[in-house]
Amino acid sequence: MITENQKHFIFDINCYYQLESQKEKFLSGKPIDILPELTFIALSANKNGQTVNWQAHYNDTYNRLKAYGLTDNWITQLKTKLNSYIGSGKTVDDFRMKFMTPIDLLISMLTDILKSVAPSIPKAEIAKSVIGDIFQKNYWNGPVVQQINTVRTLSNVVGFDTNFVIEFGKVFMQQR
Amino acid sequence: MDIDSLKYRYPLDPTTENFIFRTIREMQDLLQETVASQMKIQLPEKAQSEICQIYFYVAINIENLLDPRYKPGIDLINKNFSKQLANFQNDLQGIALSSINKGVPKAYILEYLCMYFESGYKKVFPNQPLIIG
Repeated sequence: MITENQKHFIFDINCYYQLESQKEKFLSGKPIDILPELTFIALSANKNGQTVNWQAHYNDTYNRLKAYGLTDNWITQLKTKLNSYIGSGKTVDDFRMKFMTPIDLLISMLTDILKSVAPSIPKAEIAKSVIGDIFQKNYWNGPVVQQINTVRTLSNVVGFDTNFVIEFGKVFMQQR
Repeated sequence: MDIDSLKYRYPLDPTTENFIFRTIREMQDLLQETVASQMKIQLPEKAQSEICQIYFYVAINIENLLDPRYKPGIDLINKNFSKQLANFQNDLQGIALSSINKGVPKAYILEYLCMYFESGYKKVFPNQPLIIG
């Protein structure tokens, strides 16, 4: 079970790269393409009678990512891998799927493991240790292998390094 | 009576068909302008087609039959197009009345209006499916 803050954290990451991919459009005043999280923002604003300012959303989202505890390096790597992914002709929707599928699985694995770990152990340490093992150990057997392979696609398909995933896991686990 | 026999016994009026086609086309244009100016987004054809359908289903008061995932589209229509919706509802009432006067059974009038809508919709969005059949 993930907390509301953790949901917002994931939502904001998705918003951020979806806006990043369309920066040129909103900076030049052009309408942007609809993408899942952005559609939610646009419809919510419209429902409240507000006009969306994507530039302001982009800046606010960046500030929120920093406030969650993500570093500039992490945000830069997210942008770099996104640009490289869509630069190869794939869509932001594809990127979202390739990013979120392993991330959802990783979150589920982390929250499951958390249930069986003593509360005294800091959550960030659990994330670091579990993610490190997922990417670096090869002793996995049975059905978990499929899950491990899926999480590893963050590295071998999207191109993020292990530290990127560890930082994500640590910051995610720290959200209450 | 099934839809085919309804259409066979009471052929659609070409003027009304054309009117519905123009209404959908105008709605498509207005929708794109509105979301671009107010929400700063551009809708792909699929989303345009779905919202134009929702516009019709709201106009004939059957939006509750739609899948919950179309709720944001219903809100969008109600929030931004209430004036156009009221006009469209008046137009559809007029079409319904004149169809009944031509003999279309009252029990089938919603289906008959849907046939007009489907005819216009297929011209505006030939490659997009209907969200309810």
